[in-house]
Amino acid sequence: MRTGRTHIFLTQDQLRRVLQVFVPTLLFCLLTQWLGLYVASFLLIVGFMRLIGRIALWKSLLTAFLFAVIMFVTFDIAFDVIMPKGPLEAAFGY
Amino acid sequence: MEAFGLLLHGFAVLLTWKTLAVMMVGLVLGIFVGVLPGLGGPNGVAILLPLTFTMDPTSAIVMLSCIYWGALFGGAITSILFNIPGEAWSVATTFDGYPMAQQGRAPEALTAAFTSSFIGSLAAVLLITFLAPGIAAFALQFGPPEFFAVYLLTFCSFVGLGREDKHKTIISMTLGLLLAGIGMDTVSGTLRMTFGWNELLRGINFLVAVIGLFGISEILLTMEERLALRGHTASISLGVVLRVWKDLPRYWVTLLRSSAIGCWLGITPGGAIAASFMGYNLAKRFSKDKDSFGKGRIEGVFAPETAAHASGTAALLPMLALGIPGSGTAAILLGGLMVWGLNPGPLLFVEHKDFVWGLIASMYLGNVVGLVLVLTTVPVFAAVLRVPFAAIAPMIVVSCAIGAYAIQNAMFDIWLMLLFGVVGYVFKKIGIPLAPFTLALVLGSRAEDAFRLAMIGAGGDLRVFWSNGLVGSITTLALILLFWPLLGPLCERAARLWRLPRGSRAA
Repeated sequence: MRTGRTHIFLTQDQLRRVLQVFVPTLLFCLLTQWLGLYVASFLLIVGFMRLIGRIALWKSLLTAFLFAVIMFVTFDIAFDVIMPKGPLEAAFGY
Repeated sequence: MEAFGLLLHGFAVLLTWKTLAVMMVGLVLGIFVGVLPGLGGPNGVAILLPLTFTMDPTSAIVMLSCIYWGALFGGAITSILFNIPGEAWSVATTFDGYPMAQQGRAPEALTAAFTSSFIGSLAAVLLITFLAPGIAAFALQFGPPEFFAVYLLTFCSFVGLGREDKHKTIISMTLGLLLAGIGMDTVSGTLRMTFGWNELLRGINFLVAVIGLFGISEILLTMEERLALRGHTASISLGVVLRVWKDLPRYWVTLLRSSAIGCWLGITPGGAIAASFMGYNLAKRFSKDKDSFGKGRIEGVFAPETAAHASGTAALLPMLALGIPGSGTAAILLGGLMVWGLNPGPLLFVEHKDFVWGLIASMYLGNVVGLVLVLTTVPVFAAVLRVPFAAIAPMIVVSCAIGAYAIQNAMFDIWLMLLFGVVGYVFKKIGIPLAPFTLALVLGSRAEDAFRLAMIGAGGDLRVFWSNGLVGSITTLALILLFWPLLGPLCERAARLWRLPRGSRAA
């Protein structure tokens, strides 16, 4: 797709990088429907940090876990903003 | 001086520990989203909006406006230290701010930016305090034709005054108006453009669209451009602050000029970005030493920052008094007001006095507290930018999803957000401005209601828009602005033709 005579809309390299973030986001939205938002966000952050950012596994796991827990406490417990939940939250009684 | 008494009352409403705590939280969150790449003023406010849903309206609006202040301050940090403008209107700040940081004068540049933002917004808040009640009282006499004329003026001034290509502005605005029509029609109650799909009954929520258009698309764009964040470190000492402040009176002309430009362009819809460039260019033109601009001159930070913040704040004036937002972020604040069942417009000043004056008082307080907070915590927030993008990007995606879902508790909205993310990304790539789109989406149905009520009242006669002096002049002005891109060159040519025969006769 071209917008000007010489302007290239998207190079292959750029397309690859955009898909690197778009595909995980799409998967995250799909997973949210089955697993609930918090589990899906944990998986998204671990996956993204490990596979695309190549950050150490323990750092990725820790960051994702802390982020998901903080979000859960802030929204579901402190502010009563209810998010989609899945089997894991149900197991804990939420 | 009625305004002054009401303002004091506003401070009284505000000065509780709970509200002050909410204010601090809002400011910190705001600076945070302002500093992060891929987020910014309008986005931050949209994503954090769900946090305020369970609060009472006063605390909620205080929090939101403080997030806004924080984001404005935060934008200056990235512009100066990292040469990345957080918002379109901080672009002009990088011209002299980043060179200053390269010369090791980052603390000075940051102090100058924060101080001038403070001065700019203070000027605009003063304007709001004394002008808004008057405008609201005047607007109370407005009927549907007058309101439609004002909406029309808002839309048309985007076309006539915007810096983008005219046809792209019109494309963007028309698409927004089209999407605003989806769902239940408020006048007749029939369904439009739902295609038998229950999810579309509610219509397309403005905030969901904003989160996708700005948040998700920005992540896609940042990833594509592979931003390498390489910035300068800075911590501000009291000595630097005092030194910059001591020099401040020398630049009073620049500060005053930029504040005035900012206030004027902020009230005009679509003017916020133009304000910062205009402030910068005028400071350059009137300077004795033009060549030193762009090489790290402190005046080059003062001028655009003052104008940008004055206009960002002044954009709230038409939002409060008429229900017409002057900028993208003001549009989101308007969306927030509607979530709490408050209808922005002239009646707000009569029916919800406490709320309005609480909000105006929070602008003063938030500004002062924000200045102190941001001067003391710059190193902390600059460190945020050193966190790898691969860790921040998924967190922003999750925050966007939470924001989109919480507005109406609908999974459909998360998908809609993703769709708008792709749309926003494509729009940004081909240079279609997003601001007219969001403005049309939030104002579309209100403008339509006003138009149809006016039509019903006048029995379908379009002449109702010229039925009295006020509505007639607003409508005419709107049409002139809409066709200005065509009329301007035509007038010029006519003037030249007229001058030519006279000139030749004289020769």
